[in-house]
Amino acid sequence: MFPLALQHLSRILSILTLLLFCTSASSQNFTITGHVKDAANGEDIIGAVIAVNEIPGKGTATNSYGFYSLTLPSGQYTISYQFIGYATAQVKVDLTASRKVDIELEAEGKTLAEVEIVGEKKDENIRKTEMGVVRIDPKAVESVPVLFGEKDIIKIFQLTPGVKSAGEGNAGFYVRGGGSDQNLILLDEAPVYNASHLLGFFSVFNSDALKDVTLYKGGMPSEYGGRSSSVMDIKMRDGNFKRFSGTGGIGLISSRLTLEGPIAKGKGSFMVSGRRTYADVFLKASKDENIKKSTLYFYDLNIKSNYEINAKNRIYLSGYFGRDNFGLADAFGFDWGNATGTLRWNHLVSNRLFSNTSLIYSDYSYRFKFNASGSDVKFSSSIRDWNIKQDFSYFPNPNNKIKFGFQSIYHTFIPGVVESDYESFTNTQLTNRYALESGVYLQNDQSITEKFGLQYGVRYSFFNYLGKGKSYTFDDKGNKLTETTFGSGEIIKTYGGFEPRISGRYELNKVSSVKASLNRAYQYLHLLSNSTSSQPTDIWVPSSNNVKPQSSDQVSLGYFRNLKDNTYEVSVEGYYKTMANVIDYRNGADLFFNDEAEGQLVYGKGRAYGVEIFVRKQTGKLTGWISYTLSRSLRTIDQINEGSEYPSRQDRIHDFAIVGMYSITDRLKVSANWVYYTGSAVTFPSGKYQINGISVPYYTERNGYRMPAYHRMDIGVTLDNKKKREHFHSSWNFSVYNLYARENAYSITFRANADDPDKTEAVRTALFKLVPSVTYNFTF
Amino acid sequence: MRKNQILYFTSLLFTGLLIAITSCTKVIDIELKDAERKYVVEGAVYEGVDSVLVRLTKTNSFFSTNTPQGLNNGVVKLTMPDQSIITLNSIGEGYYKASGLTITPASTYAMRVEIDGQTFTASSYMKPSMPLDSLEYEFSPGIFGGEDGFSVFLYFQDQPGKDWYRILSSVDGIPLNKPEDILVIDDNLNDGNLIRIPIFTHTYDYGDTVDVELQSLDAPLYEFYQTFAAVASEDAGSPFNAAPANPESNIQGGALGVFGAYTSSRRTIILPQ
Repeated sequence: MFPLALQHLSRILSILTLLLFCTSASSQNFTITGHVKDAANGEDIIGAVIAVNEIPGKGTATNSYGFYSLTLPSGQYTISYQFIGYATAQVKVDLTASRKVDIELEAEGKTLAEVEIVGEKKDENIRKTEMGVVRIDPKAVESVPVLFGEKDIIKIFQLTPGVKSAGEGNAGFYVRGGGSDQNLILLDEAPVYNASHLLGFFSVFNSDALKDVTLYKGGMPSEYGGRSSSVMDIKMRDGNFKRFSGTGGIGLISSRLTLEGPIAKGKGSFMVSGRRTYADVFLKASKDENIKKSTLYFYDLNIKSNYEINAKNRIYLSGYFGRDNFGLADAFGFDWGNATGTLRWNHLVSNRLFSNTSLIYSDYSYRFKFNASGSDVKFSSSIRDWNIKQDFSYFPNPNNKIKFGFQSIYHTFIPGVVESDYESFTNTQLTNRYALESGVYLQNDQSITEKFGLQYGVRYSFFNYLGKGKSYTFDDKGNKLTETTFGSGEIIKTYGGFEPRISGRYELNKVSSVKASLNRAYQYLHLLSNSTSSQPTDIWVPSSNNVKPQSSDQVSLGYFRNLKDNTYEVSVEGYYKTMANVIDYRNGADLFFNDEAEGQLVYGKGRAYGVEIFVRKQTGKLTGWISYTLSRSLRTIDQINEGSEYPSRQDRIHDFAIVGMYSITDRLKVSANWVYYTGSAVTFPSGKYQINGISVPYYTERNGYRMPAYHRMDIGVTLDNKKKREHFHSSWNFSVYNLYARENAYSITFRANADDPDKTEAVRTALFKLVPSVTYNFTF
Repeated sequence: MRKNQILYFTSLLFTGLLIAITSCTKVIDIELKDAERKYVVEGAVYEGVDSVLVRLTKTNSFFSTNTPQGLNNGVVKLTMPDQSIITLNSIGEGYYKASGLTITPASTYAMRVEIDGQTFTASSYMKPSMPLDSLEYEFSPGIFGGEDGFSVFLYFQDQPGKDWYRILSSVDGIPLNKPEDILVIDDNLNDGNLIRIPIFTHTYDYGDTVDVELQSLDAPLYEFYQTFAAVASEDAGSPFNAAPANPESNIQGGALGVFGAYTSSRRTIILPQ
């Protein structure tokens, strides 16, 4: 694979060299480089806009590390640095030589909204070529009311158009008709394979530790690959460069503490952030010995540190560790969690070429053990990645921003190991699987005219399913036909393909633009889940001779407009997406601890389409947004529903959310949100019969029914305490989840009436009625 | 086998946890479609029983309280391992029966049903005899306020090669016949071993007389009972399970149901007072 990667890379480099010659033709150009930081804590600002006042429409933006590079002909310029929530800084530059300008932006006062979806300076949503992108500043999540007062960034994304919650109490989400396993979730570039805690009621992302979260629903940049539906790119904070400080909170479910500060005299910084639930503390108070000895908690630990070696080199080290732990006395124990680590090296090759090299580790595992009649049975399963990633950003001139690079991930799948001291038991292990997933990409974000911009790129991804291992073939019914054994490192199966990614923007006028994009994405890893909800025991498998890579092709079109001098931002986006090789399961599929689980899979195609309307108000005392999505998501699989197209689980026709925040005084804020969506497609019986005297439901079609519509209102109040000391600041947050206590159906099941077994009845289970919560938050 | 147990414990944990944190359940009215009626065929031959019994019924609307109507106008035939064909007699209530047969293990039986111009067929291979060696009980303390009781364990010698088993039990002569009592296992994790397995679907009480039957199944029967247990269970349709679908029937021709040839071996154990 590596020779192949190099071959692609050299091709890309030669194209780039060509571009280089084209763009550096005018010789009197100089380059301004630097970092844009937050004046209060020295954190890099991602996506700050750098504009040249003398040349409207020309400029650049900072990259993920706060770095920018701007090349202009010699002359005198006023450069302005802008980012929402910060006062704009203006710098006069007499450009007679290339130079470095580092800027620190001061946060604006209270005039700006406390809660906002960040990223955009005025009209930036009109002028950026990207579409189908939602960016949220975790700080913005703070006052939006959430279940148990646990700030959760994923829950906020679920309130934006095109993103659907996978259901109450589920951290999974569906993007534009795709499954929750088709979202690539990156935490400081490390894939997170299971983003949920406590069966999905909370996500693993502790908002205190996060800087920026961006979700790509459509126009996915070429640097990302590996999942067919979306990319959620989560970046951890670097830590305060200026002084030692902290943030924390005490809530109903968990407490949090983040500590950060400078190291090596401001050459670097660190951040340590932890969160732990304490429901188990109450278990200890129980009189029941078994309950007393039980455990029930989860924790998250985020750590990050960075150090500037010199003006051209900087290193970052970040890690995440989180685990859920359940145990019922000695009877059984169950734990699961992720561990990730990222080592990054920023290197300035020249003042126009920025390089980042990352070495990434990612691990997800679960284990359970139980004790049956004195013998322990232990089961464990994991997926482990080693990942190397090289990215270059090249800034030839203000009209082009070029990115290129490559990535290679070595996956180890350990699907299951069972150990026991049980007498009739043979310790067994499923066959481990190995794979190498790689990609090379090249992308340019180009302003062709002042009004017309294109972001175009291509990713070539390739995948090797490797030995040591076994490959199987199956008949139509999923029975094994043959088995072939492969040696270590032997290639069992190879896949690859080009993923074109193109977006275009045309500005109709100062306040409106139209955008279009075309996208392909391949997915080589697949999540096997034999339940309609996601569970910690779901397992990831590689593409193989049986399992083909999933892919999706998406076209989208959008209209963006700002009203009343940017008070309101309006966007309407439509998309049509086709999916190939989507996976479902044979009836009664036995996926658990089955080396031949691939025989239980069936494949088909899918399509999804929809319209997303988004209106938001970012400034003033009242801020918030309205989101509406009209969409369908359909599947066709030969073995299911007699081969006719059926609605997928994520098919919900209407999805509506309104989020409002209002500052009553400087210290008092209220917020509320209301969500409404069509019930998910679900399979209910259309008849019944008896076998062996047992009543059995008779099903005629897959997902032929709908759950009742879901709606819910939440409210919150945030009260800032009076400032007593310079840095210490605290606040109380009160919220009520499901204010009008609607019993939204979590599931509907059927059972025989207890008094009259011939009578069948439908039973609705609702999870959360009104849930009040209170959280005390502080910073120092 | 172990995996069933693991899954059972996991689902217990999940369900327990959910109930603990939450939740409220309510019987509600919902409207379901009334699907076109389908034929349902149930038939069985057992090792050690000299007769065959088949029943023909139809599906009903889901919320109907009527017990299924037996269909007496069919013609039911059984093909014996020696290819001789026996016609079953309609004995009312949709039942068809033939007696005085010689049922031998390790051979295939086939059934043919003709009714209202439709034909349904099925065949099932009766595996070689699988003797249930012995039973044993073990005290099982109730956790979380549950009642103390006993687990009953089966001992038998599995033969090399793939095998599938169904375990049935009755207490004081009354069969345990709820969806959650359906217990089928495979020998993937202990092929050829002396198997010791508890009937983990039930905790027996002090003084119970427990009759246990071990049946050996062919693959399609195992598949049927596995999918049947899932769909008949009250949890079918809960988010912790797969989207429900009809059991994998071994009847050809478009009818629901199952036709099976089962080996049978029984033991009895009396639990302490």
